[in-house]
Amino acid sequence: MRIGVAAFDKGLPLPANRALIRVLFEALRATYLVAGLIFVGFLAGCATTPVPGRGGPVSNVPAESRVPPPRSNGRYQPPEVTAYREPATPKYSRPEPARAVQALSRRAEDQRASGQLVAAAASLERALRIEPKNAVLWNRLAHVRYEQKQYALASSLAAKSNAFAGQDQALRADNNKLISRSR
Amino acid sequence: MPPAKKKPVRKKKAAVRKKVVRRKRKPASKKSARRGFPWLKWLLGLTLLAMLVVGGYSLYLSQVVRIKFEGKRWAIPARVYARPLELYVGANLTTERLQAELRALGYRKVKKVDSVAQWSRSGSRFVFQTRDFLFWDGMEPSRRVSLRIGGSTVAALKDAASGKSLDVLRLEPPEIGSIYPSHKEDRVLVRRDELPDHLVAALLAAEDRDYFHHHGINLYSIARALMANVRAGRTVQGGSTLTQQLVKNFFLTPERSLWRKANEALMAIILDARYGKDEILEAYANEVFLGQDGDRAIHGFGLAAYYYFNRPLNELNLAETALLVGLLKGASYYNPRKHPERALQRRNLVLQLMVDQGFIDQKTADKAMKQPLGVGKKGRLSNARHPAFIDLVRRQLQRDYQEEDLTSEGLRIFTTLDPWAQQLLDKQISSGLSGLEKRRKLPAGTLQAAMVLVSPQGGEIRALSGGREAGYAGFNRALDAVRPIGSLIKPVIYLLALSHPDDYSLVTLLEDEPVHLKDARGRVWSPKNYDKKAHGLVPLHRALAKSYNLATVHLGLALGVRNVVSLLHRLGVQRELSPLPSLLLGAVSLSPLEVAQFYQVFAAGGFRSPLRAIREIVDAQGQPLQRYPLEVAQVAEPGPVYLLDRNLVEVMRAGTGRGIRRYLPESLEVAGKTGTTDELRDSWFAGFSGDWLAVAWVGRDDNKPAGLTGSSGALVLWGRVMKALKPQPLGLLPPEDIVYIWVDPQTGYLSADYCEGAIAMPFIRGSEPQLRSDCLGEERRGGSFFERLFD
Repeated sequence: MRIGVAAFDKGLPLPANRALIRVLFEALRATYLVAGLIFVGFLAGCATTPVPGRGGPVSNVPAESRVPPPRSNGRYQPPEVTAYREPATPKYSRPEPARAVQALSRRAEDQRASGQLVAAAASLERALRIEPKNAVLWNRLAHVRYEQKQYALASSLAAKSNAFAGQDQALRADNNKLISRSR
Repeated sequence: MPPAKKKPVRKKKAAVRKKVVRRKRKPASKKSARRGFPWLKWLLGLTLLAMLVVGGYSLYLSQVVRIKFEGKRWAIPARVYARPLELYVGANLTTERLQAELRALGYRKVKKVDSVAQWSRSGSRFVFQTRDFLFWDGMEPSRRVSLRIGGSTVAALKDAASGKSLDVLRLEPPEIGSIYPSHKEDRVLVRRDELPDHLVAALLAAEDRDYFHHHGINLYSIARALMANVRAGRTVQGGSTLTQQLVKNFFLTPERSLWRKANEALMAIILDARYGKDEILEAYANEVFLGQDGDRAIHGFGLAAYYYFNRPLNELNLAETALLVGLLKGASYYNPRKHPERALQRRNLVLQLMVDQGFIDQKTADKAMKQPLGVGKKGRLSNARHPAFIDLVRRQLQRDYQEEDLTSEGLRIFTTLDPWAQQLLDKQISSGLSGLEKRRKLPAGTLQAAMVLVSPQGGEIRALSGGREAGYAGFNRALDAVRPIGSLIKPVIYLLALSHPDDYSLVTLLEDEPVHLKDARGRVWSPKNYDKKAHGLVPLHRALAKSYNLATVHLGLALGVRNVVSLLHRLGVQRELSPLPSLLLGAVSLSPLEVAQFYQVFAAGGFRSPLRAIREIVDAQGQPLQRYPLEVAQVAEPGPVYLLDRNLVEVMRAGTGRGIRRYLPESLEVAGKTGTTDELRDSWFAGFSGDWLAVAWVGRDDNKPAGLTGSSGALVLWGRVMKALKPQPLGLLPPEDIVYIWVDPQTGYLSADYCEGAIAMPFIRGSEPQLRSDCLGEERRGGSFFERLFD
């Protein structure tokens, strides 16, 4: 047993007893080993034999369009159905964040200001679990990572913030600045 | 006898006496020796030798005791927690779910909350008092909270004492398992000061009333036991002290022999002499065996409290504590889950003994005796509850930790598991598969399945199913069923195409015509469409929505199979892949988890987050050891991913995923793709809503055809699970470089909203069609559109 050995290695005042104790512990270890082996054998006996997945090239080609021809020949229903019109400002770029998210952002900001960057990142991640599409949170996390000198991550996070920023030009500008500084 | 000979003997004797406990003097033998009986001399010599041996042996035993007792006494298994439930106004939460969560944490339902870990409910209003919990990032202090649920969200969250509203509250995370060493001993350590007084009293009353007065062994109780045993003719009573019991468990093998008994007594005396009563009591309380849970041995009162009652030791009442103490006599004979009547009798006996010895009064005991056993159903801590997920956690840990540290250092591991989602998943898989078997007239138990649930933006694995029997720790199909993925690969090829907006848009016409390819050995490969037809020129978006094989092969060959492979790797697939044309139709074997990794990129707009099952790890003292942070890498441009996602929405509206309408309303937009392999062996579905990404596989372990396509098999499970999860709609946000343009769906020419049949399609700015449809009038410049197509 590992524990036994660890304790044993801590050093013994009586070298005369060492051999005896070693024998005892060896015996103990052997007991555990045998028990372990029996158990492994037991496990092996019980285990199901997994069927390996099939590899190799597919000779007969798969498909699945079993459904009858569509009634609507693949009609798209995008959010905005007008030619050349910019999408409207999405509702979650500067959403009205839940109070929980505001509280966590404030906490993260305090932590960041006092140099606890790891904690600040953790608070922001917690907020992002509540609002994963909140562009501002992604931007704040990008800043924290930038301060931690994790530039590649900071840049990706800022780009991710942009993906949710919609028409928030100020936020976009900030993200873009961070991306160019992170290069 | 010359006196010179006596001297060294005397000296030796003195030396022994100094080291060893008192030995009897033998004046008689000395006297007779002098009178000249030589055999007495021998007797004396032998006695002295025996003393020497016993003395030396005691010294040695004392070392053994010291080493084990002062070293690290036990390997403390790592404990694994689910995610903590975040409560805040606006959070999605039903009364049913909150109750499940509180019960999972072992909170007691009461009329009026007046202590920690209690809850009460009146209508939609809950009051509960949380426990202190030390999280990775600090303490969440105990709080009495009042919470109101309106609709299916938290409508109000207040501190019950001050009435002030709370911004956010983390419930403690439910424990979902432990990672114990190969000898299968599991325990939760408790300190002496954490042992409740009534536990100590019950222990003394039932096992060793003179514990605080004897010196390790109790001669009186041994004699009493001996008498009882002789009278009965067999062993009916034990006279062991707690110290002896500890010695027996701690240092000795379980054989029953006189030699062992003697050893036990000697060591008990040594232990008692060297260490304090409290210290020995603490060791005893942590060492004892109190139950067997499958292959896991439940040791110590700390874990037993969780195992039987799902709450910490200090929250157990008198009756519950007495039950645990009763188990010392025989944890399997008195197992309260298997033999409740025996357990009840034993518990009440312990209570009566407590009365007899004056620890409690009869009234208190009577009240406790009237209580039911109160043992929770199956041990909630058991790994058996979420074996597939624990397996995943273990594998992720093994990359960064030694097995030994995991099983012995008492680490605490905070995972991403959402027990609610996991429970829905397990239920839907088992009932879904039974339904499929019934409909297909397959023998029950033929089909197997695996499923992975992930948070799209953060890549957290929220639930995982490794097979239809959730509690069975067998083959973990979510991780180990590596199967050909069929058409699930197609979105990768289409994403690669759309990433070249100069060459491809959603309306680009593809050739859906027969293909014949020769491989290196001259064998001809001629794939077919599922309906065995060729569809001529089809727009790109329809080819994907309908999962046309021929069009996809043409497209993939034009793009280059190697480029498809390298995109797959960028998307997060780490396996070696051979760039053969058959890969374009899914002749590539991956596990459901690997599929979830590359679909996560589609669901997150081109940003890859490595899938994680662990958030944080702290050591036994609560000090943070490691975090697995949220990581993001942009691996595809948002524009092409947006086009692909719109196309995957079309799959669900008008393509192979239309069956989803049986489960989700049309207004709830989701995206996904079906996959089927040769002879219907594997049925796949991968798809996502705004808040969930799910990958489902259905097939057979023996790899025989299951008779299910992606839409008739895996999609059914996917739909059932999604419906149960009540997902948010996809809510795709067009990136800046996306424009919507009216086009004629047949030709892909420019059109207008007033033209009949025209639809608005997204394009990456600059890749819009140039040709105008008849409706839009005059200016038709022939040729260039098709020229561009077939460059």
